Amino acid sequence: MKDQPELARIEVASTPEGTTLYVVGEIDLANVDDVRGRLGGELRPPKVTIDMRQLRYIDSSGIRMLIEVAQLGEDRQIDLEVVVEPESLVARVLALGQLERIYAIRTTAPD
Amino acid sequence: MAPDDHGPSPVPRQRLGTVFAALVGLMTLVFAVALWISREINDRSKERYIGRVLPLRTGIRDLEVAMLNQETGVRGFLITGEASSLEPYEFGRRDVRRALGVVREYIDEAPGIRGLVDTEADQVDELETYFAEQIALVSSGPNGLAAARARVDDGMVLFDRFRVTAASLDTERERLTDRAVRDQDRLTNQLTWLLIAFGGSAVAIAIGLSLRVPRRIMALVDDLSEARDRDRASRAAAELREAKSSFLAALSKALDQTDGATERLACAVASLGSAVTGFVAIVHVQRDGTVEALAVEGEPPVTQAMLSAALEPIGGHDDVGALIRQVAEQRRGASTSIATHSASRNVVESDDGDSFVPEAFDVVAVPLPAAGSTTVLLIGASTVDGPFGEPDLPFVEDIAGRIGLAVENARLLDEQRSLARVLQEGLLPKELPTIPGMDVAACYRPAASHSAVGGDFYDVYSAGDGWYVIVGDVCGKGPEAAQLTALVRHTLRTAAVTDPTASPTRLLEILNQAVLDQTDPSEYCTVVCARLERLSDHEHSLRVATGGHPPPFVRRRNGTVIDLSPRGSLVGVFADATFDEVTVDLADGDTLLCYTDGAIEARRGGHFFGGERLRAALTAAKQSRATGIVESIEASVVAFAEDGELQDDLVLVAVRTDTRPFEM
Repeated sequence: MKDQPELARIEVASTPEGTTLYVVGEIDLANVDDVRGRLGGELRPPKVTIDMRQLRYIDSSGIRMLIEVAQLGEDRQIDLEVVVEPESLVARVLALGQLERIYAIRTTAPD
Repeated sequence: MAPDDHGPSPVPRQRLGTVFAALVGLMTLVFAVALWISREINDRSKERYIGRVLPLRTGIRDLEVAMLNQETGVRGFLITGEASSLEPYEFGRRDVRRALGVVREYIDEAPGIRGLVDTEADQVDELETYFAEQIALVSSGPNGLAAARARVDDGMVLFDRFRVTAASLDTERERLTDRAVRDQDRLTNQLTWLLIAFGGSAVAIAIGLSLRVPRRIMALVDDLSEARDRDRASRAAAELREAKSSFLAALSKALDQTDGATERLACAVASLGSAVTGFVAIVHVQRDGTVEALAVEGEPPVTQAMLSAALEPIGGHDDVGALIRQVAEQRRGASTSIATHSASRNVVESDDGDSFVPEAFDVVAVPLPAAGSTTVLLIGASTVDGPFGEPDLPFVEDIAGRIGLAVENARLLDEQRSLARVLQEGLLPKELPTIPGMDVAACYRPAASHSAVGGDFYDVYSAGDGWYVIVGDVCGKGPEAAQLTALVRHTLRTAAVTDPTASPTRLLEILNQAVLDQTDPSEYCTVVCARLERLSDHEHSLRVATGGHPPPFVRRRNGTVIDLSPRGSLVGVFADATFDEVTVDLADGDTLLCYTDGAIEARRGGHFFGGERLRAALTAAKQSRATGIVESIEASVVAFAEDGELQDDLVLVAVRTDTRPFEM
């Protein structure tokens, strides 16, 4: 799809309980704006789960994007949860920045 | 544009007309010949018929003559009584049979004479009987002679009857001939009229067709040739479009792959030069009107000096120099000029005798829009095919636009790069301070792909009795990142000046507040802040606080690597951020390594260099000098990275508490 960033793909699964956004690939400066737009567009109450277990890489701009998404979620009063794979680079980066302050971070092995 | 050749082509039309005329002519000729032949056949057959019935006439005559001879012979014998007088009689007897035979042969062809021939034969028999009786009477003596003479009249009667029949026969014969000839003529006439009717119709139809059908066929031919011409024209146009777009694509690609404004100018004229038979130049018209060639390409080779000399003003409408100045004076987007330069005065000879004759070409001059209105693209082309097959100003303007943009972009990029370099230099310590009893080294390696200011920074400075070592990474790149880096750096320095004994945690708290206050809520940085204090000749205390930053390592003199993992939030995001602090005593020969994520996130395929490899690289770096340690680790990271290219900036700062070699 043309509007998908080159290295990241976002798949959306909606249930009555909430929306799950699967972020697959990598997030860096090159595609962070696309990912931000996509995630922002899918933020709907009551709950959004951002599943990043298939995200191989996220850089500082990606973290900044996650902070912005969290702020957006707070504004819209959405329960935000992030799922990461244990011991992964993404899990480490998120833990390092203490993003658990703004996201409920669930560590789960891949399905 | 191509000459107007879309009208009906006259050649096939003319040819078709000729063909039809020839066809009609041929038909007429064939018809005339047929007519002539039919008349001829008629005449011949008439002649043949007449020839055929001629023996009948002769036969009838011969019959008469034979009987006359017989009568003459018998009459002579009657008068003379001499046997010699009977000679005609004998001839007649002999001939009469033959003549009758001839006449009889026609009975089948002309049944009308059958009755007459039979009557005639009977009359011949009667006459011959009579003649025989007379001869016998004369031969019998004087009495017989007298009796014979008395019967002469009877013979006359018989003979007259015979002659009447013969005359009837001849009349019949004549009637027969006439009728046959008339029939033949009628038939011939009918045939002739038929021929005339058919032939005339055929010719008329042919003429009609030759007038109507060819018009249709010609219209069809015209349509076909028009369609063919249109097709050819549209194919040619498509080919030209194709050639142009592929040329533009190739040009854009070549420009894209070329770094630097000057290099792109050269690349542009080289690309154009390969497509043009002639010369291509990009010139700059200076304020005083002198034309300076920025890039020039030609075959045979054209030097800048040759071009400049060629562009000296010469006056007149075919003065290329004047044309360029005129184009240069026009505002961006203004109309441009095409000139045919045909003067022969500007022949320029180079030192080695090569001459350059720009006036042999059609010269197109268009301004390079983005590169400033006084820069002009000049194409002197004598090419007749390829993308420059026809003068196409919009196409050349498109090219000029692309070149101008590419050159402008390259110049901006060059500027940006030098700006980034200047900014970066301002954000990093010009040189590291000398810390007594310690050895400090740092490496900063920007990412391969980025020309913008990177987000990584480091600083080393003294405060009170101690030294701060700072390594950090601000989110993003470019001016914003530079601004934030400056804020971070100055805040940390100022805080250390204000409170020279401030703990690393305290520094980060101050920094957190500063970043929160002075930037967008989402702008943040990660920082590792280490404070080194000398405890004794051989001991230093190290206190480390991190804000969302990869934890530094300490390598003990014996080679053991320990993680320092104080917890701490991203700096500048949370108002209630907390920053833990870890304290470690460093002995002689211990090494502190701070780094940014560029070190652990160097990539090969799907794998990252990672903390473990970094630890291993630190363990392996047994150099006694901090510089050596940093260089060794940097080499490991770069060697790991695919194609030796780092995707992120890399900062390594190593502090060794002693300069003595490791003891392993």
